[in-house]
Amino acid sequence: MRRLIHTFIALCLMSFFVLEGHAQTANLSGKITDANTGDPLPGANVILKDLNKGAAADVDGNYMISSVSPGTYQLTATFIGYKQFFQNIELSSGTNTLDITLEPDFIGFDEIVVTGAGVATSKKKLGIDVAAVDEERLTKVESYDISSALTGKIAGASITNAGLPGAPATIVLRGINTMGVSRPMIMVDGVEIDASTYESGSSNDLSDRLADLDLSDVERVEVVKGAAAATLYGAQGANGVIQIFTKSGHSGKMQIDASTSWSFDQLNSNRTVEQNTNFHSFPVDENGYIIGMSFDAKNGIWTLPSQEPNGVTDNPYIGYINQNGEKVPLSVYNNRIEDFYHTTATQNHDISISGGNNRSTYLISGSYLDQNGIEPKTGFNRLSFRLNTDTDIRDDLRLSLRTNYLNSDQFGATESGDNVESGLNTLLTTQPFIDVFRRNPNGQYAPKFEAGSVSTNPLFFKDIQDLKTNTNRFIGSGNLNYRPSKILELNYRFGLDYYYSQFDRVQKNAQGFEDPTTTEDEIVILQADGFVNRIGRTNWRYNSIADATLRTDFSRDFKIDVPIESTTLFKFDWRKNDYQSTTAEGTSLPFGIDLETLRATSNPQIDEYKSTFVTYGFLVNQKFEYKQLLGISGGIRADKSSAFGRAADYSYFPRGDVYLRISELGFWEPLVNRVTDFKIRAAYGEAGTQPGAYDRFVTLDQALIGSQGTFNTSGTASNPALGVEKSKEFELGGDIALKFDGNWFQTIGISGTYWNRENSGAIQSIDTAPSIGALNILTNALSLSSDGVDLSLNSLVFFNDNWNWRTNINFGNAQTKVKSIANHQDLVLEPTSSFRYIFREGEPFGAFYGFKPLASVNEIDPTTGERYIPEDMVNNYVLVDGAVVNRFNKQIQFRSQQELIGNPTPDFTMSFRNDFQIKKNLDVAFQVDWVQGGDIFNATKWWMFNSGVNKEFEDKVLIDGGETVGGPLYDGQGNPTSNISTVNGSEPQAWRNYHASKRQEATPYFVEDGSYVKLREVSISYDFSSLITSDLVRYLRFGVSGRNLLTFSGYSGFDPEVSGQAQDVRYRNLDIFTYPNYRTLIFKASVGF
Amino acid sequence: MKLLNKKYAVLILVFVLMAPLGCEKQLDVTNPNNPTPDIVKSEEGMKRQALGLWNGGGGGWWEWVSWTLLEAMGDNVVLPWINFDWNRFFGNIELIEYSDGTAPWSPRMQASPSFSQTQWVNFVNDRQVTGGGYEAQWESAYRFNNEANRILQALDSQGGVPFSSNAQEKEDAYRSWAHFWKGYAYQMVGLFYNKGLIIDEPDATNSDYQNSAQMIEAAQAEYDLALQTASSFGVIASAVIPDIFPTNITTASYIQNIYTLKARALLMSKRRTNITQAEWQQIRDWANQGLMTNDGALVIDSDESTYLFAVTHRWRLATNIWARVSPRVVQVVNENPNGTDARAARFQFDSSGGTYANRVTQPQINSPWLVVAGTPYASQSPGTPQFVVSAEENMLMLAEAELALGNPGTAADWVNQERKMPLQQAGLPDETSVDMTTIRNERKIALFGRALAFYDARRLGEIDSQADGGGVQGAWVYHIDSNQNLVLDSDASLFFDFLSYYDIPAAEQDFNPPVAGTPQQ
Repeated sequence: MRRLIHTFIALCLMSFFVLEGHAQTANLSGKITDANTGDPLPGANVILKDLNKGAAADVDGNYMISSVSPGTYQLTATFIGYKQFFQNIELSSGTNTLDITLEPDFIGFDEIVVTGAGVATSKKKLGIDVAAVDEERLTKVESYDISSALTGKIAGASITNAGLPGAPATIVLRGINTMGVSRPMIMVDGVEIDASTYESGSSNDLSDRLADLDLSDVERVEVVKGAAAATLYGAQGANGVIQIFTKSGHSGKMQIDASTSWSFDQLNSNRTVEQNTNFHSFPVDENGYIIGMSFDAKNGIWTLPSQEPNGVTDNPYIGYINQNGEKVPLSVYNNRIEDFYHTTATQNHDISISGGNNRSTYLISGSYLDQNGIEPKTGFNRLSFRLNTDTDIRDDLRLSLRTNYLNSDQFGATESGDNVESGLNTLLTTQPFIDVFRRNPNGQYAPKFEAGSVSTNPLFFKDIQDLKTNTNRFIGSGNLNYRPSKILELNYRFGLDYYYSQFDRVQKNAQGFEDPTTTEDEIVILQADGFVNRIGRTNWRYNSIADATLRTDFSRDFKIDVPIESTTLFKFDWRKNDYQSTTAEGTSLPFGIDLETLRATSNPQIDEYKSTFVTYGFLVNQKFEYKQLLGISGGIRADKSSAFGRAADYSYFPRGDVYLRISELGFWEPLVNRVTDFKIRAAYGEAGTQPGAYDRFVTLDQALIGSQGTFNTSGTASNPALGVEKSKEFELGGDIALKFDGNWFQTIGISGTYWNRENSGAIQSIDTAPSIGALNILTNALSLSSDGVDLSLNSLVFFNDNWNWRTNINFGNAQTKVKSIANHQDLVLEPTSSFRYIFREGEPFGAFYGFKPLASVNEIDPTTGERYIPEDMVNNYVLVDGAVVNRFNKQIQFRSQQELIGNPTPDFTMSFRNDFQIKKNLDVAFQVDWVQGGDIFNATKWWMFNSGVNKEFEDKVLIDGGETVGGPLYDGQGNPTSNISTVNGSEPQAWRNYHASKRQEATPYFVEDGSYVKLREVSISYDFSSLITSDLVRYLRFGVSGRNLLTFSGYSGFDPEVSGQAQDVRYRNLDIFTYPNYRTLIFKASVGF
Repeated sequence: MKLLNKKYAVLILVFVLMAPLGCEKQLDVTNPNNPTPDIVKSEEGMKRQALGLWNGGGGGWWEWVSWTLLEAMGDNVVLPWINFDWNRFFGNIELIEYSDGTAPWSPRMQASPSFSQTQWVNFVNDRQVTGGGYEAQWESAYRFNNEANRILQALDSQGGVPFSSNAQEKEDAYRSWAHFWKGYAYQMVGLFYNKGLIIDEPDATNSDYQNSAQMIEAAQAEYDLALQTASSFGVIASAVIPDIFPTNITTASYIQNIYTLKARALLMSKRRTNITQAEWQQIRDWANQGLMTNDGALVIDSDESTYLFAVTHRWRLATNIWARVSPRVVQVVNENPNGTDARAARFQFDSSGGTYANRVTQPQINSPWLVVAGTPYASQSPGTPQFVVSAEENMLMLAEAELALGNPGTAADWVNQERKMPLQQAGLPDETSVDMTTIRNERKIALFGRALAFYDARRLGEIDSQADGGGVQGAWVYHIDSNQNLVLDSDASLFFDFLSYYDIPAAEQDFNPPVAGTPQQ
């Protein structure tokens, strides 16, 4: 460490000797415009490289650099989306003029990026893979949050969106790197913000702190996908980094930009999950009327008779004999889903005002989103105010301030992702003749539909319960940039992310309902006399980052005649997080009185939790560049954190990268007209994931018995030796730019990266011998290895004065394997009863395990070496659809050991995007996302099979050679059982037993291919400003766009884009009554003055 | 200009360099939310740990799972649910034979695949299947043992625990309390599993497996250690017995509880036919020093906000959620040859709707009987005690011992006395002489819900296979006839064919395999 400091001091001191003064002054001014259109480029930067001094163009494209010594300088001009401009310029004293035209960079090779590079660097000169998405692509089709706007736009990023408004998307960058939430580090303007998620109704319905951010403020997003590029972020960068840059104002006259949009969301499903509405298995009289059934009109609850024990008769739903002996006809409902999930309207408005003079600029913006979820009483509102200023205090000192106030409300969902308590479960498993939308004469929904059922009517539940998460948040950062000399740049940045987020769950006393609960215990989530639950969470996150960059040119600064440039970055990075939560709960609200505070409850309980996390690290990185040809860099980051204490050693994360621009070599000369750029690059880096703030501490649990406090051992043992999860990544890539003459394919850019990652010590709670007094221990349990390929292709497909067609194709593939497990035992995770993810050494990460059916009556059980079916019993079994079925009870026979039955990791993800500009005024764009492979465990269907209500139960199955469909059930002796009744002489059927037996445990019958092709975005917009004579209006644009409009998939559930369980990567692609995704149609108007 | 530049540069440089020096201290955070285990070496810490022992056994959850299983395998309740593999593992009865003998109905044949219980146990005793019911008792026992070891470790630590007053008495009392729970934990293991472990250090284990007889011996030894210093229990009674519990445990009743448990451990650990006369005398001797009234019996209770046996899970027999009453229990109170048992009113017939109707796929195994809410057997209300040990159990052990020792009259006296206990009030006429059937039936009804049913069924041979002479005859079984009516066959036979002892749970074996030479059962 000390050596690092010494080196830094030496470098800094060196810089003072080369400072130089000047006497006479020269000024440079001019206009920066688009080479194709001639439009001014406000915000474009002009820099005199030798002086490290520059200026930004104002709204009219004019720039001015004043008070420099006359002489010859290297001048560069840069702007996002344009190729860099270089020119040597001789400045004489007085005024000099240079107008600059910038060429659009359709393929992004000239893009300047910061994330992962530490120092703003053109992508041409990077050895690492950094993806960038600009505002235009992010906002062409309105999205309510940043995650959905990024979907499909980054090769190698797998983003799975949630249906619940304000809930998190699952973001996986290049394969899986950690056990649990894989969310990358999220930075805004150089400081890390909190991107936690909290429960807002259930463990699967979350409130997301990333969703607080307002997309309309975003200018650009940069993404580094793994350790090779994320070493700069040390022990927190292993999952990659997403950095969001917000807009700045431009000097010049004030500009106003405003937009308003109305959008309509609806269930994203071409089909719906269907119930068995044709057959039932209730006892019937001789006319087919169900007997023993009654209905209580006061509370809407049905009492159902026992269903026939085995098999069904093919009785249609004719009617039933009620308690008075009357015949009541029955009809079936098959549109519950459509009636429950509505088409809802969402509004989104934003306005921004920006301007400034040549020393300071400002941007003030405000936005309001009012999103309504497709499920009743769900939604997300957001109010955002921003003030961004940039001030040149002196020519060499710039202060940038970013402040953002946010207020969001998320209205939670009812227990999606649960097999008992979710509303979707109730809708899909309730008997099809029950009118779930019925209100009683008092206007109340039935509390539940079936006496004795544990599922609540979601509509009733929504009537009496309110779920809300309100977040008040301030995100601010200040950046002081000081360029004391042409070779030294010092930068200090402070960031604060503060929020108070309060979750409220209030359930009214439901005594007013007729028999709201037959008994309290029967309705698991429904506490009949009401309750109040509040969780207040306060989080303070501080960032303090100081860095020094030393840029030298050997020939200029040291008079050494080699064309080498050196860049040294030294960085100190300190972060702190203070978190506190207070939970208060009380039960029994008074009936009939509108009191919703804890005070009104009978016995409020309070709990509190606090945590503090501090980390800091040093980074030194050295880069050498030889002409435009070759660059090589290496560095190391050292981190300490409070998760390990003061005494623990630094964790070190080395890195290195190299690039070679082959197209700059002499032999390339003849090719350079066709292949304008060809670069190969390689990078290696390490990064980490920190454990939880107090994970290493061995503590006793506290509890209360009555009013007495107690201590006892925790069921999960702590491990004082816990370490940082480390990720080592190697990437090898190339970028190639092609050029063709004429209007077609003027430019094509292809970038490809192969990457390979080894993660060691992923933290996971693993089983341990219970005799130690704990069931599991939290430890660095798993090593994971991943590899894959990211490819992207950008092309200006066609270009002429009237037409402009750009294409972007992204491709990513990532496979992760479990390399080893600390105790070499399988890690079994069971997120829902009987469905398991098993992590097994050498096997794919997060795969589904279950029982496969016997494919032959002669199969041998490998665990015992014996036949599954004794030889003398073979005649009792037949083969149906390739599976062995018992002829007597019609049940499928399964193997006795669990095997891999599905892998949720897709073979690849791909997106195709096309942007057309027609006659400058009409914009058309669409993006198609393609996910190939990736199994889904359809637990929705699985649970419907448990209740026997899935549509498939209508499918008659040929058993026993097909002479009889189904055929009677037999007892163990081969006699027909007396358990089946015959009605009207019809044949008793038994296919139901066959179907039901598929669901003993998790079996391959519920594993489905999750491949899909989605029309992710489509938009048409027209700029009417050319029709307006006034100069006041810069643009006036109207557009219609759509998101997720069409989905093509063989998957039988609602949507193959399954957000899974609480964005936890261990539980991917589990569709269990998940809040379904939605599609959106948007009408938007925007205007600029 | 130049100088100023330098000043700024130096200022920033100094800040950058100084920052980490100031940061180092910040790294030493402590967890403000929970104490470290060393806290037990203080008096308040010891007190809270000794009370927290009640929670340590799993906070009600695992206790509930294992107690429910023991009741189910002893045919006191039936479990229609697949949770914890209940309905396959323990509802997997060998054969049910109706009274006409013509329709032998094998629940096993209905399962898929058709496994014997032994096969199911092999299947379920696998961490990848996580048949939670199987390991619940083991986990619960070793959590109790671990908490007790932490108490003993603190008492034995250098300098001991600095008690503010009555130091020696308090130390003795806490020591006794810890040994009592170690005895209880070892008994839980020794009565259910083939093998167990004796562990005397907190947060540690070993691979020196003992057989079940050795575990029972170890339990008796721990109870004896508890008795050695039990005489000062009174000084900590109010600290370690939750104040929400209804009974006041005095030193005397604490000692009585231990003797009742000693008698239980001996009685339940052997087949009835294998108990020697000397052992019967030992049982009688211990039981005579055991509980004679429930006033000082160890019970578990809950209040509105905290619970040990969760109100949400424990014995919800009244609500038909998790378990229903076995028809064979109802049969006992309805077919008493000696008169009408008032306790029959504690059960209600409910075959319409609800869980029963929805889950009735095997009425022969399922049951239409519920407990009437508010009776001593089940309640959803807080403040209704759940028994761990009871005077009824003690009296019925005395009755059984007297019968075995040739005193059926004395045995009858104990049964008569037990039936008059406040929570029984059977209202039956006194008997002058009883046989084992009477005692067996009385145990089924009086000790219903106390997790003893499996051990009774085992020691009396009821769980054995048909071939080995097991099963119960003349039993109530329901089935559905061809007219869809639920029919009671009151003279059916059931053959269970359950294992007597269960193997070490896979959760333990996978990480702590038995070393070579470990005793075999």
